[in-house]
Amino acid sequence: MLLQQIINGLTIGATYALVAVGFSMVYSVLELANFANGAFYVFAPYIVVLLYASMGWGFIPAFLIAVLATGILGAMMDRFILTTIRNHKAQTSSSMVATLGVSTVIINGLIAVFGSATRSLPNAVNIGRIYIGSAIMTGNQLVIIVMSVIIMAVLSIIVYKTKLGSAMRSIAQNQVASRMMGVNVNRIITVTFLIGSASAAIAGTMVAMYYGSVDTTLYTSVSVKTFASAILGGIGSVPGAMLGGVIIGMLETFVAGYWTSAYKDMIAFIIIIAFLIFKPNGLLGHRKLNKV
Amino acid sequence: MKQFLQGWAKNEKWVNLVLFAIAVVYPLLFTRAYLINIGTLCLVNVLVSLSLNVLTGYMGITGLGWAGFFGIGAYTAAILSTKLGWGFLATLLAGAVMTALCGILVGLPTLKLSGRYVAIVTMAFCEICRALETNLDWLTRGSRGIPGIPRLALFGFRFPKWMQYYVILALVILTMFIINRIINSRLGRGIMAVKDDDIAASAMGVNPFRYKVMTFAIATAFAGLAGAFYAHYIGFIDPSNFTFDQSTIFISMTIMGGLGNLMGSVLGAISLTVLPEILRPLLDVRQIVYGVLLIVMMLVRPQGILGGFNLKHIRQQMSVRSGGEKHE
Amino acid sequence: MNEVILRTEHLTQRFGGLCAVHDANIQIHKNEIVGIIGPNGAGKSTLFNDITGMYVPTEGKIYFHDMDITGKKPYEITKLGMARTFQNIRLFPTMTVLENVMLGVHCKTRSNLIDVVLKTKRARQEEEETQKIAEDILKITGLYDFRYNYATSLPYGLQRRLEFSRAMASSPEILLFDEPAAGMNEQETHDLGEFILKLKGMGYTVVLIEHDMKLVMSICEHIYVQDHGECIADGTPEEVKANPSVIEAYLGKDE
Repeated sequence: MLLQQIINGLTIGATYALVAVGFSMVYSVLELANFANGAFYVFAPYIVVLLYASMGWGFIPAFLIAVLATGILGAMMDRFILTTIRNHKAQTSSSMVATLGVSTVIINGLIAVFGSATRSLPNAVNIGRIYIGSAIMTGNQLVIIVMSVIIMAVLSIIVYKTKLGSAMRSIAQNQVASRMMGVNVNRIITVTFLIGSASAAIAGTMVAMYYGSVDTTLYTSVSVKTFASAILGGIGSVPGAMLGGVIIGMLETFVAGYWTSAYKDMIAFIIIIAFLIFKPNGLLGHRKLNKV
Repeated sequence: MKQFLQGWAKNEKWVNLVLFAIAVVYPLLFTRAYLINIGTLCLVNVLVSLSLNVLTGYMGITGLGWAGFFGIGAYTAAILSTKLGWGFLATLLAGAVMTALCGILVGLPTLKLSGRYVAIVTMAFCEICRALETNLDWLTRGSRGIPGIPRLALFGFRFPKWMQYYVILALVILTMFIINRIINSRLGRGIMAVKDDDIAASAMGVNPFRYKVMTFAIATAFAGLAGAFYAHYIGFIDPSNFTFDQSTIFISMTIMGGLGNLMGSVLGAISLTVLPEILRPLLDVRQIVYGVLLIVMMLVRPQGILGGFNLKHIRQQMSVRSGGEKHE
Repeated sequence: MNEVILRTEHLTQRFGGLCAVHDANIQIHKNEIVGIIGPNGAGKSTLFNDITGMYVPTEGKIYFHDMDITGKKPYEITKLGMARTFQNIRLFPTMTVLENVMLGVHCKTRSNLIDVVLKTKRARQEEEETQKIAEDILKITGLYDFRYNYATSLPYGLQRRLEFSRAMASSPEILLFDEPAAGMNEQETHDLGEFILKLKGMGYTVVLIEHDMKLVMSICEHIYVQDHGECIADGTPEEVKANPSVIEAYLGKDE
């Protein structure tokens, strides 16, 4: 029972982690809560449904196209909407409202095209199941966990080991100074959005596969939980976001498994508030010095 | 635009009077129940948006979970009136006080954090409220909601719809009056100083934390007041009225109207309440158009329709120029 | 010599391994103009931040009129009668010049929420007085004509002057200026010197951190020299100028 809960928690936590990494990257460079992230998370599986289930494509090409399309959508949102708002030197809350607008358009666009009923997504990954003692790990769960680990490793390498990553981190610390040091700030931010929305797309598709279905109501709770994961781990920290995602995923699985599923969401939020009060920089975040 | 603003600033009293007259005459001209209903809902949203503007516009903290506070007011009024039979004057007051207490409870431990974290705290709080509303069955009847919340009534006389409209109108005007008084006082200056630069404010003798808690309490009180009225007006509430989606609508109204400008909140709330109604014939496409308009609005005027305009300052600047002093 | 109104005893401020201020013992006498000089990173601003409550010192005590103010919050210290300006000007950009200065009077007024909502007699009186005090100060500092402009729309030099005005509005005993002449040309610096002397004439005590030697030497009565967190010398301008360790540590570096 315990082992089974851990496996289930880890699976769902891994997907939160994946969305949270992208969210956290955007948040750290712009201090912007990107509400469209949740919409990207449901956008991708719908594309997969369209290409794979309806049009009969292979799963892998459908999946790749969906992730790519979502990534481009995210980059376009930044390039055509958010960059303009930034150039107005407006507060980030205006950008936030714009991302709300984008998410409204995406979600309702999906409803208009696909209808508001739940759509099923046939399981493409049929590799049986693994028995670990009395617990079962399905092929889907294995794929989700392995994929998440691989993608997050890649993202870590991008953020911490490449020139692009160091540009991102420098923008997060000081945008003006980065610009003066020759960093093309707007382009780097756009790329950050591309990566962020692509990782949300991967997570969303994997979760849809896991549950065998996709519907548009998922996006709010996902938005809120990725927020939570990112804060818990420490904004701007890739390993932090992973840790945060896994903890939130585990926590809700455990609360649902051992107590009541009614309060599974609430516990996560109480923990966020507690964390913000006692450890506002998260588990792995950096302390920002309050300089006079 | 500049001339328009100057003209407005010069005749602000008259403009306010005309707007007030329009608000008073509205239910007399448009007697259809549907239109009075829309008017009333507009005013409820105006009240919420005003309260959120206090926090977000004047204090600089983005309130992401405002539906949570709105909901506390609504549930307080609903429970007190259905279970204990309180009259509406008492429940409106109780809704405001209860919400302000919750605001202080949330604010005390968290308002030392930077504003962006407080935004997330309010969001999390909204979700916690909803979880409690859904699960405290003995108190809130869970997801079945609370039906039969008595309509506004005095001495056994139940107010018809149009009278309820005037009640909320009175509440809105009272709220604007109070907020205006606060903003144009030493407290208002303190609030704005903390928003602009809390370190400098602190060096000038303003206790930023105390001001944040005070502002949070004021803002949540008005949100609760709006919620309490809403519960009586609508007669039935359940947790789905107070979701995070509803919160995002509230914050959109406030930001689109313009931060730090009370008339902006009026404009933002009315337009985002009326817009979905106008778009109703578009059916499925309605929400898409709504989203697109939100985006376009932010592209054209990211600071909101009336954001950044301070009529008092404009008037003062005009008085200096017409006074013959030549400084720019 | 007048009584000592501000003094620090063995004041030490460490940030992690870095010791920004070490064992500072400073005494400020009433109605004196005191300069704190030293190369960049010598711990001058940290000293200011400790005194005004922005930082809590690691060790040592700060006394204001023999009252221990160590660890008090900035707003409490301002209320006691100490006001400061910042090295990088910190005005309130969405407020007008007049409102910025009126905020300075904030700590002298008492109206609470009920007063301001009901516009009680106290609220009205205080508001009138506040405005009058602020306008009087603006007339002294020559910013009256700009009173309705937004604070940050002023040119740099005037923004500095506005910061002085705002500090004066809290009617402090001691004014602490952090590099007031930074970014000013020779004429402006000269005017600043005159202005500070005028403040002394009005009864204020002024402490300033400054890099402009000419200004410091010409107006200060007492000078403390900081280097690497240590106070290496203090005395009258003449004494400091003659002090060999000062010449070595500071003036010598400049050649």
